[in-house]
Amino acid sequence: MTATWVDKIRWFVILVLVQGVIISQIQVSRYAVPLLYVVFILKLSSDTGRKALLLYSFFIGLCVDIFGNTPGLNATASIWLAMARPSLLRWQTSRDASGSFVPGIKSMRVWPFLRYVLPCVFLHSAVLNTIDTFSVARATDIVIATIADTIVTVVLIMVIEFVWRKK
Amino acid sequence: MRNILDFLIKYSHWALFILLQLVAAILLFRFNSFQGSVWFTSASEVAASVTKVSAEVTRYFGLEKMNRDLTERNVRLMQELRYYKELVGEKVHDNDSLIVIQGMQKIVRTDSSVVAIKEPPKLMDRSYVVCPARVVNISVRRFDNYLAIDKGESSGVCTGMGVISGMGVVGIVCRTSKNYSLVLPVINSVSSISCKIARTDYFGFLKWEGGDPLTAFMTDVPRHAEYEIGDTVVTSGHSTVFIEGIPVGTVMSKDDSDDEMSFTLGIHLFTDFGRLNDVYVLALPPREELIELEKDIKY
Repeated sequence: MTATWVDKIRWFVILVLVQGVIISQIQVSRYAVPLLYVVFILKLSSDTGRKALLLYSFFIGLCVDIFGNTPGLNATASIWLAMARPSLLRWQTSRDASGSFVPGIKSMRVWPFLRYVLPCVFLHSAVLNTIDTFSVARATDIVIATIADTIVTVVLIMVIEFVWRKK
Repeated sequence: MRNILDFLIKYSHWALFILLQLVAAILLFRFNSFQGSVWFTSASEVAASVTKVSAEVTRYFGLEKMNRDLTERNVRLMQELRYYKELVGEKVHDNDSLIVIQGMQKIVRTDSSVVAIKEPPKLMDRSYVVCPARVVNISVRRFDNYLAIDKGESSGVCTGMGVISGMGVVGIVCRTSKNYSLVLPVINSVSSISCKIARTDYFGFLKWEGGDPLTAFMTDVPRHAEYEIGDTVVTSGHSTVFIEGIPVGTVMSKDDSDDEMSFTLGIHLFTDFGRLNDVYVLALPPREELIELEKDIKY
């Protein structure tokens, strides 16, 4: 994902469509929804400013929300992720933080990338599921859904990363 | 002064975060109100025209099951038709159009294919129009589910109209755009549809509390109500949305309500939202007087 505008817009549209039209329409299980569009936020270049990060996240979340009839839900989860991303990324790349790079297996190696993706996706789906089923009585539902969403999403992102790297 | 400015610039992303969070929160809370803009929903022109394409494709995967249902329904309708022919003593043409239906009969569904008809139809004093539509977007997994259909204001669909399918009741139109509408289905936590037990005429409200999209609840059923497990539940016709007698589901279980003043019955819904493709929008002639009267007594 290079920094050019055309590429960014292309990925934005592709991910929103895949998330909104394909993934949300395949009702595989009540829990475990892959939140693939998060990959757009995760793979923005490391030198993206915090404010730009917030705006990108907000708009991709909002677009996914429109397809799912959940205005504000994915947008909220995404801006929380955008706020946490710089620290989580720095945490995994503190030793060789030189210049800008696109987070990925190629630039970070497998384990640091996984350690960056996992907390990011977990935070995102935790916020998402908490707001979605906002009730203490459903606390166990929130925990199960968060863990299930996280596992499915992280596995999907890692698989895509591996396939990409081979290309 | 310079320090304050530096501070503000350094942490300006927090201000943006709070601003975006506020916008998102407004969208989140505003959406729960029944009436509102169709803009941020899957029934907006752009989103619906995109999902319509994918819905057209996925339709083909469900054709086999759809065919089986239609055959089953055909057999049932043929049995009913023969019954009415005998009852009326008139010759009824097989190619009668179903665009305008008058009245609806009480059907007690004893088995998926065997139908016993309890009493002859009462012709109702008003007829209604059905407008066929296709589902372009639907969710069943969430707590507050919605579905978008491909008919909107240009086809005469407006908010408050009832939506049914070949299987049974679906929901109520809550927002419309020019060519699409958003429907609040039975499987939404704010949905409440007046219904009754077909055999004994006791009333209740159809509610859904998340979880299994095939299981709903009928609340506020009086404690003296007569019913049996397996009884059919139909719409009551008390509202201006649905006519009487549209199949809803069968009684599955019984529970006391929280205040122990009434029963809550578990209902197995006839409508399988997981494979809903074709629906009909019911356009009942408006009952202005009734609506006015209901407005007056609302407190």
